[in-house]
Amino acid sequence: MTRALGIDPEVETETHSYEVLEGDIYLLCSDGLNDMIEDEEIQMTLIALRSNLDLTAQQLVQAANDAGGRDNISVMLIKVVSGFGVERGVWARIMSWFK
Amino acid sequence: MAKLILSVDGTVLKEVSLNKERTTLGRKPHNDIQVDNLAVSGEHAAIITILNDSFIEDLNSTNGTLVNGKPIKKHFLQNNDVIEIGKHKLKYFNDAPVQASEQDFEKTMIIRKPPTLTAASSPGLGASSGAAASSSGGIAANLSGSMSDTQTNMKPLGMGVPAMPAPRPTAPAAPLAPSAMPGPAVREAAIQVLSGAAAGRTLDLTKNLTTIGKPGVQVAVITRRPNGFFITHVEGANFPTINGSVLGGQAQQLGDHDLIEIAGVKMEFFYKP
Repeated sequence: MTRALGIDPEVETETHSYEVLEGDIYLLCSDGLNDMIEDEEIQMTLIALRSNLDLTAQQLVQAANDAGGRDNISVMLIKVVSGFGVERGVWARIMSWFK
Repeated sequence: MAKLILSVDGTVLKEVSLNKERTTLGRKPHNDIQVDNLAVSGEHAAIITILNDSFIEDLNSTNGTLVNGKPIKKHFLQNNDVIEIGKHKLKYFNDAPVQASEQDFEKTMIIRKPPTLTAASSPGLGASSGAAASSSGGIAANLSGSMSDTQTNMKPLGMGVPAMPAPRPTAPAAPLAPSAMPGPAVREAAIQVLSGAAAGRTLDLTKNLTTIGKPGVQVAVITRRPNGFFITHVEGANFPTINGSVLGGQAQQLGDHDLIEIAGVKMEFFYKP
């Protein structure tokens, strides 16, 4: 880990922006997962078990282990349950300058 | 903060705190720890300290660097380790509460697949209930033997590996698909719907995941794994039943001709001949 993160007291994080829709599921995983099972299988698992995220995560890890499990596997799933509006009025935009 | 106690012939010379990222040891005066002895190279070794961990590295010295009597090239220092350079000793102290053992860093844990038995072409631990056996008495003996052998070094395959099921005699006494290996070498199976509007339909279980039931009401998933097929509850206030018993929270292995009832529909799981 010291090789990947380095030894500086602060690290630069990489950020990306995505448009989020209700029902979307985000998967964050180490390559121990996607190196062992195909993207189609990951997709199939996410779709089939989307009503139970705990089970989805367990199933992904188990599938990677069944396929050889040659690396450590970390899986994080985030499901967007409902919409969340972003304030767009003039007042909200002014207030956001002060945050 | 970690530190080193430098001594020679049992006499303590000084104490050095490891508060720099790189602490050098050697005979030349520019070293952080200067050791004035002919057996010590000009630049003999360096200690790298990152947060609370320290590593010592020999810098291709003439006589080498020992830790606890063993020559090292690089070594992750543990509390009370004794470094030897020439005739000098440096004892490493680090009273941080969490100390990993060196073994944790050397080996990557390998998840072992269960070994296949040589004797009667029977599978190892986790035998699927589709294990065809020429004599079920013979298989029981082999399997219980393998259980005690492999129990100690077997890593769990993840959730849902059931306790060893009693071997079930099945109709064909054909040689087994090697169920101990990962990969799609599994006996084929299917579900036949017995009641409801889809009665009579057969659904082949070719995919790794097949969901059954009614979304929003009661859903279960049948997973296809190297050692057989397992059913797990996915959603719904009620759980499906297998042969009349309510499915528990964990995955359950399906046996030939098991009767599943889910969302009011009966269906049968069976291995294809």
